[in-house]
Parts: sequence; structure tokens; C-alpha cells
Amino acid sequence: MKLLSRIEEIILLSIWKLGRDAYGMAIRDEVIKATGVNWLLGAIYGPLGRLHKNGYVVTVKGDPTPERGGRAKVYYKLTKDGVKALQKIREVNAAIWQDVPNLRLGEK
Amino acid sequence: MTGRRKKPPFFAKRLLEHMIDETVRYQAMGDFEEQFNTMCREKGTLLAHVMYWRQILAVLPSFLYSIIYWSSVMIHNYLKIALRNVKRHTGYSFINISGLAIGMTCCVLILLLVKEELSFDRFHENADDIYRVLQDIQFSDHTTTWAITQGPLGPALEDEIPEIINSARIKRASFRLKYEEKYFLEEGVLADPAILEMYTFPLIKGPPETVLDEPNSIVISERMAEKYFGEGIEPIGKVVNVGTQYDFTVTGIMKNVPANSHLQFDFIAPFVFGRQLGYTVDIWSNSTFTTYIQLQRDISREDIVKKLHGFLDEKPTIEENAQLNLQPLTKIRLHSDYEYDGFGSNAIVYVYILSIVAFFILLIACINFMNLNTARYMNRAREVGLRKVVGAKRSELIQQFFGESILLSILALILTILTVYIILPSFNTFFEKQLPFNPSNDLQLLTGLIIITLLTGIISGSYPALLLSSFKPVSVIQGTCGSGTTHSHFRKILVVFQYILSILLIICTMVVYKQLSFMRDAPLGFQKNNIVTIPMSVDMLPEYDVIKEKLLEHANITYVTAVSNLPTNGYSFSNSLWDWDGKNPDDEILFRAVLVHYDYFKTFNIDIIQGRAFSTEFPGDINNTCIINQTAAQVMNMDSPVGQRLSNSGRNSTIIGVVKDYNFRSLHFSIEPLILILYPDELSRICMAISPENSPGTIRYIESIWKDFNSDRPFEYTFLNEDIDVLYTMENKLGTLSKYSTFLALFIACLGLFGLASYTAEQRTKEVGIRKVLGASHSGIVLLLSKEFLRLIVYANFIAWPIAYIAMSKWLEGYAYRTDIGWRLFVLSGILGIAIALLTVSYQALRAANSNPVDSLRYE
Repeated sequence: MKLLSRIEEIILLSIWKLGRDAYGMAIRDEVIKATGVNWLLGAIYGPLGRLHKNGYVVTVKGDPTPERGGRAKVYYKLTKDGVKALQKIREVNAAIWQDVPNLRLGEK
Repeated sequence: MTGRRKKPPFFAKRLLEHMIDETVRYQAMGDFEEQFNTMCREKGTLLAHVMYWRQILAVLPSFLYSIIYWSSVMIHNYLKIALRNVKRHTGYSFINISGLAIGMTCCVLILLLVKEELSFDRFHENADDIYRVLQDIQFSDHTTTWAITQGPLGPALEDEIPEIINSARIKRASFRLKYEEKYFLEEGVLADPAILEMYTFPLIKGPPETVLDEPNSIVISERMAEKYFGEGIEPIGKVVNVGTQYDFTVTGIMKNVPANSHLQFDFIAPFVFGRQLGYTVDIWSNSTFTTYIQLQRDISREDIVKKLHGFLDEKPTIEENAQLNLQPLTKIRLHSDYEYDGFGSNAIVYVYILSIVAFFILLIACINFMNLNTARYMNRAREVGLRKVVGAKRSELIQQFFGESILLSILALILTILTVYIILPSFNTFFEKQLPFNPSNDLQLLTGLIIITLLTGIISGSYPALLLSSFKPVSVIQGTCGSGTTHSHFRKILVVFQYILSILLIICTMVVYKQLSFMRDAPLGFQKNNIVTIPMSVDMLPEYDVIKEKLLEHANITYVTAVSNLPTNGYSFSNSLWDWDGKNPDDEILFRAVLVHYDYFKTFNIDIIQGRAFSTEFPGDINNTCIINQTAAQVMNMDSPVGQRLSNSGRNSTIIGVVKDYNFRSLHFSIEPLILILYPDELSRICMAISPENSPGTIRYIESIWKDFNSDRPFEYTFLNEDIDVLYTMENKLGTLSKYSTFLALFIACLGLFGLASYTAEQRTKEVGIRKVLGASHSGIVLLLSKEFLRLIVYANFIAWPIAYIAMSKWLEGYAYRTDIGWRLFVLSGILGIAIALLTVSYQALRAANSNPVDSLRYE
């Protein structure tokens, strides 16, 4: 099973954290909060689309609002596969970081 | 919130819609718009717009990734199907690929020629800074531009204009070089040493800075070094003998001058040596040298030309109204339309023509491809219908069919490269060039080949791609589409177009040949047959009278004379310094002059209509007399010129005769005022009128006399009519090229017609069957099927005729003497076109007429 990429991992976690409010712009805000990098909305949707294709998330449609040009908000939810992928990446992270003492600059 | 809601930018929105993946498009566009509105409220409209546009950049990486991924998947599928198709119908595919390859080969060969012409002189490092100096001169009756200048001009320009950092004067020279027993005539230049600084002519041996310093030094080419010195002998320091009088020391060896340089030479001798040959190196009153200058980098040509205005005014030149002009080095080969131009040519016209021809040939090949395959494409209608049913978009189908045709083009490219390699040697020989063909080394060539392939693929695939992808699945499965009549218009237009091109070529070839034979047979005012000429060397000149007597002893040699220039080979010199009584002092009229010996008029059978010829009975004829032609008399407004004075630079002559106008130049030019002068000391060819019987015997006799006076120079002779033919080599080549192009175009057009006819015949088998059953005759059927095509051909003729007429008239304008085009040509070409088309169509028509109605009507 392919590992999640960094941004995919961050997006999935953000979706989990947001719970019922996980739609495009909110996900983006979470990502910016976590990474400190000002991600553009369009850059979020690339990985998000791939996650959807691979079946890690599903969508739930909301109500249309005029603010969105008449379109409805679409909320994202993690699937079982998505949760599994997150668990896997967590294991990998833990394994990799396990024996690494406090990383200080200048040390080998 | 009240108030108009702002809309996000239109183009950005469309772009984003296209770029975002379908699965998330809905919510993404919604989010974009929500963000836009939020930003409008919080940060202002401008920032909102900016942010919206920035989304495009953000989406770009994913977009490109998905494109690449999906394209490779689909390309894999298209390739598989395309190759399967090629393999299944090997015969047809082979014909297709060959057809395309023929077109591409012709295109590539022609473009190789064009490429070489365009690349002339670009290999010099300073190519962009080098200019040739021209003189724009205003005479009273016309203005002209000379490509030659005065001797002192180069150094004067370098001294007086600081932006001119280098100058070099060049004059062509033919040296008879002798080293030990080797004795040949070599073509080279006399040039200032700066030629090696300005131009990139690398030296293999010898220091470029000093190699031409000594007045008797000479730099020879690799080729010459090999010719005279062979392997293992060091040429530097050896002394060679030039023209029996001068000794030169070889001081350097240079690499052979590349073919794409307008300056061609095998040796360089110092320019100042020209003084010893009597050239007017130091005086301003004669223009006979080519001057090149090098400007400082980044100085504009226009600025310097402005500076040069009036430069010649204080100089003691002859021409009163002469201004200097600068021609960029890179333009010399193609854009030189000047007088006295030994180096440049006006070939740009031919470059354009050749490029257009190359494109047309490619076009014809593509059109042919389309026509040949029309019938077979209909068979794939089912495949198209199926693909559409399972969800293929029209654009995807278009991609598929373009991909197939591009694949065929690529296969054709392989065949083309092979063919070019094979044909190139003969091609080079015909055009007397050494065109290289190295796709692996030559980036320009490789790019060109790729472009040609893509162009071929796209053009030839356009019709099938657009046609097939437009089928509706329902009509395909029902079997009602592709009935043939719906798209037959387009196909017919294609065939007509091919025929128009072919008929154009037929007419043009006929006109070219007509003009050629006209020029060959035109009466020139002098006898050109049965005249033999031999060169007169420096050794022979003092013995001329003896030689003449000996020659006349032969029964078959009737007259002997000597000339400075053969008639049709131009003139010895020309200037506007002639003065006569009654001349308007402000007039500056150019006269051509030819130097001759006694019996000139008898030998060439030229009529003297007033006065007399030069004659030994009048010893004062030498140096004091001249003979003019009718045009000269007209220009000078003299009704009876005999006895009148004509002088030049203070030297007086009396006109003793008027000669009937004759063409002393090629038929490109009309007859100009001519002065003939008796001047035995500067003649370079002996001409003999011989009788036609036993000319080999006569030649042998002449050779024996030659040997008596020329110890080591090999005998050479020419017939005057051969010399005249050489004047028209370019036209001859054009004629041959036209002929072959016509054959090729006709062949391809017939192929196209054949394809179209077979398709139509197939479509109409049922109709033909019914007609036969109802009692139609054989010939009736044939006529019925051919009638349509005949109409097309007639249309093609009517369209082609005016175009051909205009184009050919334009071409003929370049000749002062030309034939008329004549209506017979058009009729002939029309008949020819119709006959060939008829032949092609009749095969299919006959086959249809012979078919058994039972077979065609069996299944209904």
C-alpha cells in the first residue's frame, strides 16, 4: 500500500479534526495553521482530488448558498481506508523517529 | 448584505474549470467563489482578483501531472490500434507511406538548397559587422548602383571615419601558376592583408598577421597545396612562378573556402601587387575593386551611411553624382541586384520560389494521401461509432486519428531519410553543390525534419480526423452514414486543386522551354555558329599577325580576328566620359566599349550600315578611330556620325563607321550604346570563322599552331554557340527542374484521381447495375461516370490559366527579349490534362461498366 505524502497526511488529519465542518476553505485554514505556509486553495484541491480518487475520503453535499455562486458546500469525511492510511503513516513516522535523540543544529 | 455581488474574473474561472479535476470541480469552484467574495469584503476587490488568478498557478502542477498520466495511457491505446491497422493492411499502408515519403523527400531536398542559400557567409565571426561598399550613381538618363569602387576608397574610409575599424579591397584574379612541371590556371583574389582579420578564413600554416606583408607573398588553399606540392613537401617558402613574369613565395596555407561563402578563391595575393599589373590602385578616376569594411560592434548601418553622404564629393572621382552605400555581408549572396557585381547574385527570388514549391509538393502529397484513403476510412465508421458509445469525446477521436497519421508520417520520415541519403549524390551533381545531410549533427536540419513530419501528419490527417470524429453513433450502426455524397464536395475540391497545380506546372514548363529555345534561336545580329575561339596568351600577343597568317592558310578557316570580349560576353569597360560635339554637358550617358582587331565584322558577319570597318589600308585607324552602333548614334543625336569626333579623357577619335545593333550581352539586357575600338595590345581571345565540314580536322590544325607558340600551356578552345548556352545555364536548369516537377505532380494528381474514381465507382455499383439491367450501353456507362470528372478537370483548367499567365508574364519581364506566351500553350496543356485524366478515370469506369449487374444487385 502506497504511503501518504506529507500534504495528503496533513489534509486527512485536518479533515478528521474538523469533523462535520470539513470543506475546502476550512481544510485550507487548518493546513495553514499546521504548517505555517500560506497554501493556495488550488494547491489543496490537487491532493484532495487524488485522495478522493483513491477512496480515502467521501463527500457529503450541503445546501446551496449565494456566496458560492449558487453552489452547495461539499463536506469531506474520512473513510475506513483513509483511517487505515493515517494509521500506517503514523506507524512509519514513529518507527523512523524512534531512536533519534533530540535533534540539535550542528550535531551529527 | 445588500448590493451587487461581485463576480470572479471570467477567464480565470474558465481556465480553472478546465484545469481542476472533475471529481472535485464542483466544490472547488464553489470554494473559489466563496473565498473571492470573502476577500472582496475583507481585503478589497483588487486583492480578491489577484488571489483568484493565483489559484491557477496553484492548480497547475496537479493539472500537468494528470495530463501526462492520462495522455500516456491513451497514447498507448492509440499506438496499439494504429500499429495494428498498419500491419493488417500492409499493402495499402506501404502505398500510403511511400506516397508521403515521396512528398517529404522532395520537400527536404528543396529545403536543403534553400538552407544553404540562406546560410551564406554566416560563418564569419564578424559577419554582422562587415559591409560591402556600393556606389549609387546618377546619370542623366538613369540611376544605377555599382558594386565596385575606387582603389583609394578603402584606406580613405578607414582613415576618415573612426567607426570604420577595418577595410579590405578585393579583386578577382586568375593566375597561371607554375611550380616545377605543374602548370595550371588558378582562380583567386588580390586582397589587402586585412582580409584575414575581418573574415574568418583560418590559416593552417603561417602567421595571419604577417603572411601577406611582403609584396610577392601568396597564401594558397589546402587544395592548391595538395595539387602542387603533394605529400611530405613543405610548401611554405617555395617559390612559384606566375604568368611567366612574376615569382611569388608561398607564405601561408589556408583551409579551403567553404561552399557557402560568396567569396570563392584558391589563393590570396597582396592587393598592392595590382600596381604591377597596371590596376588603378591609387587613382580615384576608375572603379574596379570591391571594398569591404568592418564597423565597430553595435554601430548602426544607417548612421554610418548618413555620415558617408557627400564623402565622394571632395574626391577627384569621375562620376559627378555618386553616393556611397553599405550592403550587409549576409545579404550579398541573395539580394545583390547591382552592376559590375562579380560576387553577389539576386537569388532571393529563387529562394522564395523554391520554398513555395517545396510546400506545395508536401501539400500535394498530403492531399493525395487523403484521397487515396477516403474509401478505407469509411470502413472504420463502425469503430468510431463504438468508441463514441463507450464514451469517447470527439476531441479524443480527433487525437486518435491525428496520432495515426503522425505515426504514418514518422514511418514515412524514416523512409525519407533513407531516400535522401541515396539520392543526395546525384542531386548534388545536378545542382553543382555539396549539400550536407547530417541529421545527427545538424540541429537546424533535425528541427526542420521534425517540423516537416508534423506538418505532413497534421495536414494529411486533418480531413479524416475531422470527418470520422463527426459520425453519429446511431447513423453508424444503422449504416446510413458515409453515403459519399455528403462529403464528396470536399474530395472533389481536393482533386481539382491537385489538377490546378499540375496544369500550372505543365504551362510553366512549356513557357520556360519556349523562352529557352527562343533565346537559343534568336537572331543576335551576328553569326554564332561555326565560330571557334581560343585564348590569346601573353606569349601569343606579339606574334598575333604571324598566327593569323598561319591560321588563314587552312582552307576551312575563313576569317580570323581577335577581341577583348566575345560578343555576348559583355564589354571591356564602360564609362560616361565620352564627349562629342553637340553633347549636352550635363548629360552623363554610359557607353559600353569593346576592343577588337581587324576583320572583326567579317568574322562575326556584322553589318556596317554607314562608313567602313577598321582596315589595314588606313594605318591611322589604330588609336584614332572608333565605330559605334545604332543605339549610340541615336543617343548622341547624330544622323550621320561618320567623320564626327568622339573623345574620351582628352583623347580624340573619329567615328569611321556605324554598325547595325547586335546583342553583345545576353538577352536579359536590351542593346546599349556601344563603341568599338581597334586596340591590338589588350586583346585576349582569337576568334575564327570556320566552315562546318570537317571541324575536328580544323581544330587539330588550330591546335598544332597553338603548340608552336605555347610551350607548356594546354590547348583549350570553345565554340561560340556553346559559350552562349552557358549564359543561360540557370534557365536551362530551371527548365529541367520544371520538367521533373511536372511529371511528379502529374503522377501524384493521377493517383489522387484514381483513388477518387475508384471510390465513386464503388459507391455507384448498384446504380450502374440497375442501369445495365435497364439497357444502358457500355459507352453510356463510361461516359456517365467520367462526365463528372471531366467537368472538374475543365474547371481546374480555367482556374489555372489566369494564374499561370500572370506568373509567367512576371517571370518573362526579367528578359529584355522574350517570347509571347501564346494561346496555343494553354489549349495544349488543357488537352493534355484532360487526356491524362480521362485515361485514369476510364480504367475505373470500364471496370464498372463491365461488372455483372447480378453481383451488385444480389444483396438488397
